Amino acid sequence: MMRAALFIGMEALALAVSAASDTAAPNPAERLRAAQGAEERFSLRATLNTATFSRQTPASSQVVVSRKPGCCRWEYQAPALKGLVMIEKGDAVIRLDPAQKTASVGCARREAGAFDLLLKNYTVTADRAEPIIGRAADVLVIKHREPGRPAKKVWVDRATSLILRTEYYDCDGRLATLTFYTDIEWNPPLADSLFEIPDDWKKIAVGDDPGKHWDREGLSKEVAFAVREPAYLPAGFALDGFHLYHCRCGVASAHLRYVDGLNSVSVFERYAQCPGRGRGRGFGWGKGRGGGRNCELLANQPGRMLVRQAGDLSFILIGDLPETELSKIAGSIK
Amino acid sequence: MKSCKDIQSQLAGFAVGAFQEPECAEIERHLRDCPACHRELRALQRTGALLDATEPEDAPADLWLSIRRDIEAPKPVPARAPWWEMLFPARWPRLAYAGLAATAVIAVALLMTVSRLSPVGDDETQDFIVRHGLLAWNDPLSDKAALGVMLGRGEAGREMQ
Repeated sequence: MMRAALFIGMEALALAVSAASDTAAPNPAERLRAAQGAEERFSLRATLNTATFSRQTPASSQVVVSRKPGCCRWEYQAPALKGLVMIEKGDAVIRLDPAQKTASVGCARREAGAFDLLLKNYTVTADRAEPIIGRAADVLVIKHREPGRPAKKVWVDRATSLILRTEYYDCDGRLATLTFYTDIEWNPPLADSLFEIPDDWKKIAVGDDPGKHWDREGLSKEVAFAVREPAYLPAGFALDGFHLYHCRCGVASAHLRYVDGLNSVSVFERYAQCPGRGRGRGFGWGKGRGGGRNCELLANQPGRMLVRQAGDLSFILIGDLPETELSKIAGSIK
Repeated sequence: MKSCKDIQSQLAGFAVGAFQEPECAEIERHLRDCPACHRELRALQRTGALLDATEPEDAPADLWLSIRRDIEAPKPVPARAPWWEMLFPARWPRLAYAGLAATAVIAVALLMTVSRLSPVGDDETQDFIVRHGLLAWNDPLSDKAALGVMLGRGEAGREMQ
């Protein structure tokens, strides 16, 4: 009797300890939320490798990263990128082109609530523990609740929540992008000048501010036709915003962007007939060089880009979705 | 752990599925972490695809007979031959060179066709993709290092100008 009571007591104690440790460990979704903003808290100098296994144009580069709160600088080492440097400072994204000594400055605003949308559409599971560059890390897998959607794996540093490695799998389940740190130096001295445009460089502002949101009526006036929205969107997608974009021949396009938290779909709408192959901006109708051409020459890329023409308008859809889904979206634009 | 040199020497076999599971797994593990070897593999696969698309040409049925005839025939007094015969003195090398030239012409034609149909060659197509990527800069978990490669490769300068 005494022994049975002792046994039951020990069982109860074990259950209580187990429950306490379960509540203490953050769940994978909360670990991911912590990881998503972690890099902005640290000062570091690091080297990482990044590779894109795109079907058409695979590319890779070693990248030297300098980061301090609010600023980051990526220096690309691959010869093909000719010394490209990207700088992020607040909402500004700066591209330094050493060959031309030009700094192109754009804006990329952060949308509140995007991470909640990700958690609504995707499941986050802790897959395994796997050390990376000698640091204890946990692999989190982010998968859409529907099949045939992209997925991501991230290696989250246990000590800092920094994402040490990222693998992106496209909607066909193929590894599409891979980025991982190879070494990190914490709290190095970083000169402010690293995050500034050098004095004698030419500054160029982005023509169509990608951070600017338009309303439908205002955008329709800019593009000179009534902007149409797709009636069908794959599950989980929501409108991110209306944007304005001028293609290289000067034709104004309406850019409708839809997001599901991890993936995005762009719908560009514009007149199908371009004035020509002019290289600059601001060419009016008929002023481009090389004569008129039909934008149907834009090629479809299965699982990535789909071009449809309806009347005198072209609809260009880009997104990591199966071609059937892109077709369905395109077909629903009336 | 094999070095890149060792792995690259096996890539051609790997590309055609010549290896069994243990070797395959080792090469796949290496490729996952090594963009340089992965690039090498892609190049091999592209070359293979190009060769697969080229129709092999049969040698003439009487080729070997005619070679034998040529070997056994009494040699005539050498006379001044035309320049192409001086360059390609025997029949077989001439055929081989002609075959090579024809293959080269077919390969060039194929390459031209591929690049004309390929969306990558269309700068404007790339512009839309770059614009799509630029707006993903601040999406949750966006891989900014990888996006930078895309912005640098495409006409990001024009895009951002």
